[in-house]
Amino acid sequence: MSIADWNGFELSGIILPDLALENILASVQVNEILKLREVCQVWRDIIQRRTFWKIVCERNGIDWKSIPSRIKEHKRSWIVFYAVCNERIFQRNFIRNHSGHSQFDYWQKLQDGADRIIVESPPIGIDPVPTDAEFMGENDSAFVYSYDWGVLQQKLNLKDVGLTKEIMRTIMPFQFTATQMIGTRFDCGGCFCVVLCLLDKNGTALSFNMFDTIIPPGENWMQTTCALNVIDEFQRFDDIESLAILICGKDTQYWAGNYGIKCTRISVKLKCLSQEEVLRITPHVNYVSHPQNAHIFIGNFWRSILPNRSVGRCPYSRAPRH
Amino acid sequence: MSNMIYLQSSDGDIFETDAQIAKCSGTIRFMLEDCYMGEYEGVLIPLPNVNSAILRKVLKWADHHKDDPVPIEDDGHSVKQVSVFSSWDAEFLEVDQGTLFGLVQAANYLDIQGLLDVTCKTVANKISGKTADDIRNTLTTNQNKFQDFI
Repeated sequence: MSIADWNGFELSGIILPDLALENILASVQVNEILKLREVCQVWRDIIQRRTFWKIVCERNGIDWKSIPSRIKEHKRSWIVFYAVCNERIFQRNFIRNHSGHSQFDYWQKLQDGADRIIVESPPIGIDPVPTDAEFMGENDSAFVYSYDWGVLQQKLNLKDVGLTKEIMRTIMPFQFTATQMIGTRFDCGGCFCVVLCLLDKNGTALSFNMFDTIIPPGENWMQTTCALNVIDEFQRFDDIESLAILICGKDTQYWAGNYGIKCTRISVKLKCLSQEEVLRITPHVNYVSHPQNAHIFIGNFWRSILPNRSVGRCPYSRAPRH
Repeated sequence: MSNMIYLQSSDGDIFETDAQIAKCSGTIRFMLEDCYMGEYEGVLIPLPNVNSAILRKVLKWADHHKDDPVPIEDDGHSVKQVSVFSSWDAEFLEVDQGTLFGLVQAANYLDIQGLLDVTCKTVANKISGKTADDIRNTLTTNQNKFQDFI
């Protein structure tokens, strides 16, 4: 039987109303929905409807109202709904092993100076990490840095996490938001820096943003944020292949051992931007350094990570081998 | 005092049922409360889209679920609750495909959300794990099953 022979509404001799058929298809597990498009034209049409995806979202615990209406009105919106339900692109933390529960799995040590980066479980010389519903059920652990710069990198292939070019284009303008909890021991301060960077297939930075801070001893856990925007003016959008997050740290005392900054609950999430939010963004100017930190962050360290901080150079090819 | 009403299937059979049970159907509830203004003791409601076999099943389902909590009206904020799929429902829906689709059709026509949810989920389970070709074959065979059932 070919697709044309079957009208899709008649199942085992019973002709089902449109809404009942929609309800049936919306009851199928999300990861099987794409396959249903191949069954017949009627089903293919249903799977492109907003009403269909509204039911699927509700069944998968996704608040329909959280999806911006500009996406819902897009003619290819269904591919985004699919990614929202199947890959949870607006909910999930894209980072794996966010607190070092499985040591350095998924992380690459771009720089591992002095007494090296370690995982402390639980973190020593500091209060326990505050409870957070999102990170419930996991023992506390944290990456802890030593007296010279350590740099951990996690690189996300965007296609692999459900963000194809078409989806990114449909949801643009959007923002990658990195958050992490950082803290210091009672007896030693720390330097911290996080970099978010979009890379092309050669690992060349297309755009980046960073946040840096120096915190005194005994500073309990605080959350820091770094956001990278992808807006309509984004140059070389078609070359975007992956997103890298760099978590960099050291201590302020130059003490042997691991007295430096502690970092845990590293998260990268995706968020759509409203037109008002976009208007507040100055194009191409992402990073503004804290003037008092400049002497620390502009140095050999930055030259090795992001040469001259210019976009378009390859920050990785020149990183020193250790 | 029991509040009995009568439902007439498409084959002309008449089923006596408690109005409270029949009211799980949005369609019947609307008729009783709006058309009969609540004075519905002993009324006969024709259901030309539901045959006897299916209506019997629907009433059995409704009787079993008569004490279920009434679904809260969708206020547009809460995420819609998915009906609970009990082992009784699973056993109840172990029927041939014709009957299953007949129940979907009836649940849709009678506006019984709980029954619609479990029947749709059952059909969806039959679809899952199959290729597009298999789905077409599964859903278009047994064309005469339903007729046999009647």
